[in-house]
Amino acid sequence: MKYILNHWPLAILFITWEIFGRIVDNKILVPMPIDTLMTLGSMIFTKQYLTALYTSLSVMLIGWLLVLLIIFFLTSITLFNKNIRYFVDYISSGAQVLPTFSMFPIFLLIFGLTIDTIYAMICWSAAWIGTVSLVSATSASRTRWEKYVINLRISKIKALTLVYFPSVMPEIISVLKNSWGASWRILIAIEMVFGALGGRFGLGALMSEQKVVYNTLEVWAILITLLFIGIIVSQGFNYARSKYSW
Amino acid sequence: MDLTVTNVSPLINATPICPGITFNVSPGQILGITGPSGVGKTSLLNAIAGLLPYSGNINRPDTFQIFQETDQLFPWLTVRQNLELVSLEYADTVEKWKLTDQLDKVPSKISGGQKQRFTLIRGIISMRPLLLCDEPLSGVDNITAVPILIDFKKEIKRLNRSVIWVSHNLSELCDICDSVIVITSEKVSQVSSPTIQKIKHEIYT
Repeated sequence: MKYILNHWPLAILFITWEIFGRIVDNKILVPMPIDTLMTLGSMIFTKQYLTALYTSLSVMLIGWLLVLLIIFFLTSITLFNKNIRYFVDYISSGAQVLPTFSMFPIFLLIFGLTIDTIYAMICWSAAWIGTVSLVSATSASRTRWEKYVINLRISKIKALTLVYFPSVMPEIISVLKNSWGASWRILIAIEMVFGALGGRFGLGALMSEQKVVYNTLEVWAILITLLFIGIIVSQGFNYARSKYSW
Repeated sequence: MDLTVTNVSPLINATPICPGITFNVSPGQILGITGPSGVGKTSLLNAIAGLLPYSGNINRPDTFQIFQETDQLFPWLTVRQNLELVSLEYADTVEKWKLTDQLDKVPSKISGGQKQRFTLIRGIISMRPLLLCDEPLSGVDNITAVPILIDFKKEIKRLNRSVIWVSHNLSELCDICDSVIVITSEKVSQVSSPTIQKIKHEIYT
């Protein structure tokens, strides 16, 4: 019951949607929430929907893991040397303001119409901003706790595992959450704009295809899917974050 | 080993900030330092710790620990883990301070006074011969501070450590210190067996 009560904004959203749908009174433009949910219910068991969902999630997972690999690699090397830290911070800060889609032609030239282009786009969209956040967090943690580590003569291994690493856990979870969000957004956007890339037909491509044939109910049903996935993942990260609040 | 400070004045921009100060602290002795704000108490402590340049001569033990009012336990570790980071020999002291049942809590689940006690215990168990304390109880009210001071003093005497205790709180200094150095802009004096009246006399005359 408490869990349901925590999601009252969803109820507000559905009520607003219902009112808006009744005002517009055009089922092709704005289908009603109950119809949309029923469509979603029937879509869930279709092979096309499940394949698209699986494709998007699997591409997303691999892309996100690559993002995390880049973020943790770049952050780790900044710990060893002040000049490396300055270099990574400088490049990351500059690169993160470039719109991801501005890199699309370049990735397309390099990788062609393959899945690697999507991975490259996901990495570009999330790795830089994640690196900037984590480098800044590790640097702040070091500044704050280093004097304690020196004063208490804590060994390097213990300092790393019991002081510095746990002290940045909240930021690490934020980076995981934000990088997931950025990766997911860019993946769906690419799928919607370019359809099946590298032979992969994800939720964005399915949504785009349904729009072309004016299956508005299906378009909204996929939108609801994306919303639910976003909420579930976000709840997971919020739970993890609550475990590290002190 | 004794801490011996001879005619020392901390230097800021190569300028001495207070008159030369001379004192000696033997193992098991607690020396207080007090005076008006800005007179150089914390700078003197930092000079003794080697964090500030100084004129004069300081002969101190090789290892020491500094406590500051902003010192805290690592909030993501339990109190036990915080202590074990420094030493495994904490059970006796914690038992004497009647805090054993708080060991497995995280710092946010214990009171401010208990946190302060554990911070002091962490210093005591670190086995350093010299503890440099810069207003470590400034965030604790007097009623809470008195038992902490009594326990701390007993433990310091038992373990034969040297302590320098900087504070504005005269009653705290009288409770814990064997003697107190009073620094004003004009003079430096030392009060043995300190009382509030004696210290006030040195500050205001």
